[in-house]
Amino acid sequence: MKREDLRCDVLVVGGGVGGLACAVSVKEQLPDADVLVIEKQTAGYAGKANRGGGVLQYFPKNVKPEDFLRFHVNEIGCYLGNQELMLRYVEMNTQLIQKLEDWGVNIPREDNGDLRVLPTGPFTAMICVDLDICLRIRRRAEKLGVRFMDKTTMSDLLTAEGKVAGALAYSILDGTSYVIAAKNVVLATGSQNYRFASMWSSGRGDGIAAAYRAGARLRNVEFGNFAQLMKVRSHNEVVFGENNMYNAKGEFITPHFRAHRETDINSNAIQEWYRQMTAGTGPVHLEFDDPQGGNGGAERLWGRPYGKKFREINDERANAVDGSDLEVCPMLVGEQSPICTDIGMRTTLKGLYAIGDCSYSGSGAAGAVPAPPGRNRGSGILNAVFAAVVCGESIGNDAFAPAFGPDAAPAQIDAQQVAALTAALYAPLERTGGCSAEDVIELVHQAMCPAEYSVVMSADRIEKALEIVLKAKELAKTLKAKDFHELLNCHEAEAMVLSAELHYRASALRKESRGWFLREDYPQRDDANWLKWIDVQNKDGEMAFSTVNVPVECWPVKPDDAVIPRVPVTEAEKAGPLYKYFTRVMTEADPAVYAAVQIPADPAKGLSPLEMNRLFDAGYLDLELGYCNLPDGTAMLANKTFFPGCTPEMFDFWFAWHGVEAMRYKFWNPHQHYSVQTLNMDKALDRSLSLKERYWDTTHDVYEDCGEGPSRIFINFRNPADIGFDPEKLKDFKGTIVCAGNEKSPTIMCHFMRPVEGGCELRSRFWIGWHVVNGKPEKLIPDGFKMPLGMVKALLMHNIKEFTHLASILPEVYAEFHGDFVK
Amino acid sequence: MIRTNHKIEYDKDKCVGCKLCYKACFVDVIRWDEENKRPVFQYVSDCEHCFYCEAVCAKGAIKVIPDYASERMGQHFSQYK
Repeated sequence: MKREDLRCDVLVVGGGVGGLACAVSVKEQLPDADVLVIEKQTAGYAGKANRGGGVLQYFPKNVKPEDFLRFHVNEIGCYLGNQELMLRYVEMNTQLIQKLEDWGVNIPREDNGDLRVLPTGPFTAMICVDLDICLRIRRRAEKLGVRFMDKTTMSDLLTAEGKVAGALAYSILDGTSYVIAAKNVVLATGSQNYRFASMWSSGRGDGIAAAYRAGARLRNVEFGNFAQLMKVRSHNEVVFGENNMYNAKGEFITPHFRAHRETDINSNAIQEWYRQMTAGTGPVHLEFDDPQGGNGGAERLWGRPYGKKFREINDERANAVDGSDLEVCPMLVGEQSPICTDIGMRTTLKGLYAIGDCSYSGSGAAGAVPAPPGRNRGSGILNAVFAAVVCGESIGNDAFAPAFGPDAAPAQIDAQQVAALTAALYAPLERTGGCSAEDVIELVHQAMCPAEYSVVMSADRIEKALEIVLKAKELAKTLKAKDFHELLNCHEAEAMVLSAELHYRASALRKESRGWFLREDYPQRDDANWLKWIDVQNKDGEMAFSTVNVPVECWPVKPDDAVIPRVPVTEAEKAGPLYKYFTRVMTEADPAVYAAVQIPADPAKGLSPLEMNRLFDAGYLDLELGYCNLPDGTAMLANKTFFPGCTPEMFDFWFAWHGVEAMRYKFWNPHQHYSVQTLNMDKALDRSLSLKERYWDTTHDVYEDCGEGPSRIFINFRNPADIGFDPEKLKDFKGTIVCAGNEKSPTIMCHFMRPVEGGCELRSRFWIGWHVVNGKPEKLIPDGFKMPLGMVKALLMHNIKEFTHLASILPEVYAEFHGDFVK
Repeated sequence: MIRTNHKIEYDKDKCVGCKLCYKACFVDVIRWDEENKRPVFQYVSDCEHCFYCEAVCAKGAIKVIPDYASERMGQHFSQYK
């Protein structure tokens, strides 16, 4: 095979938006540097930016970078993000957009010169860019003297003397191998998308695999499982379709996994699809009020003359098969982007940098979410440009004269290494028998594409998927190719096997759920054990996994005061005797409790308030933990909490006592209870009354967050006999019932507590869509209306949280304050 | 996607040999015949129907005909029945 030896100062691998922007940035920093871009297809047309949404994330002027950071850390990155990097990305937003314009990219502006902006989500907006963005940056690069080699793909990195010394590449047209000596190599090779979803098909992970083989550290490999809702006929994605999901029964199911419109799709939407399908209530389809619904909205900003035709053709062909069929299912996109870098885009190998979608997660920029889009629409292109600019600066700073330029010595090449890598490179061409790239990729797809394997994970399913990956790995040893096109396919198939194995091995380690990462068997986020990155390196052919603590203590947003901020307290409250309870870490419920209430229960198992006296029966009812619609369209929730060492009297004391002072309510749930004020203070303080009488027929005016933001609620406590409980049964009842409800309130609340061995058992019921009329529950909502369940689920979560904690502190509080309250 | 059945119609009479379709293909479906200055649709089974070759052709010489039904979605639909 023909071989050519080349040299340059900076080798950029990949001619998509990141690689092109980096080539330009390096030339802006170091005009004398010899910069070469190699691209396996054609730079300017390759990559994803010119086939994607064509949107750029924009931060309006009134958004402070630290405010966006706080939002991102809490809602998206879930503490796995590098906050320093994120802050810098936000701060450079307008500078990056200006750079693109300077490089010749068309960005629409209003007549007065302002950018044309479409507000989208909290703190962010979008501007749009035409799909010739990469062509324009290539032209700019060529003007600056950047050299290009198209149809040339890198197979491996070359190393010598402990640093990267260049790359081995080959022509996909005639197979010529190129040994390229370079002082610095920038990987801009995109993410791993497993050659599945059409639009993302160029990201096949070959750069990631080369970095791994050369010994570079990878990070966040388990966050490479992005999936999007796609129409089942045309396989066109429906951006934001998760807000409009319906099951086969016509039920609106979006509220099952989100209470309000969120920034973008999350893995819960995929999980909801999976649950509906397994429950036999699939398939899932979308319904829109707006016939344009589901589109990202960029067309409303600007017609985009270059990309218009391409979009029109796509829509026409897809619509022809979709018709009115809006059935959707998840489609794996992937987006594994794990090459670990510092905030200057330096990898762990000296002389090697990684930018854009091959290091979006690995740099820590994205946090606990596959990227792009990383629940941050428009961040893909801008992150690539950001990383490219930062990388250009790093290369400028890291260079020591006369490292660059025609007079500098070339990088040293290890001839033995080149020989070994070249032999491996062409090996599939030499084999006479064996499998095709498609045979291997077929298995990778079987392992990665099913939602229940790669997105909604569990230990047993991870094991099954990994078995398939290992079969693919074995098969890949026999890959054969008959020409150079097939040779490239073989190398890409090997990279896919590697990515898939990394995904499942790391996913098995992360025993929690965080952000996009979802484990059915570990549904809760575990900050105590998993505020960590999972790193992996190739050590003599073995995958060596390790964990690194995320240095949140060094960054502005810290979990203690920010993940779940505490409600404000006054200086006087801080000085008082209750503050010690307020500052305690809230006792968490068993993760299995939360896991059990992720989907609605069977309505047939629900308890109607008309049957509330069944709570007196010995044993348990059908539904003791969960929520559902009742057959009449109303909703209910049930929760069971064990109160160790507690008596019914303590529980009565609690409700009589806490309405007197705001701080008593705050420390019950320091994250969600803002204040309380009894409207019947005389009664609450009347020591001549029993504890029950001190709260019966009183109203608490509370301000609290039941999972959907703080709101003001009036809780009218009642004698249980006045809302429908049987007075005869109450006479003999050894427990207590704290209940609320009246004619005006649309909810009936009941906390039914009975003594059990070792303490008491609280069985809570909320009936929503019901009120109390003449001492009996009555349905309040009109016939045919079905209560949405999002709020009910949120209320149940809130209920689990506050009663789990109360159970752990009540005996102590009672011992300290009961005496004074009754004497 | 792999093992799909998409088709590309090419009208050589309309083609003027501008080479844009070859450059625009991001998955190496189209090769270039330097001698005749014409595209060769050599690896159609790898087509991802991005429609770029069709869209950039000023002469309307190319039409991509996707066979969406030949693309599998990778989900285990049968297990839910």
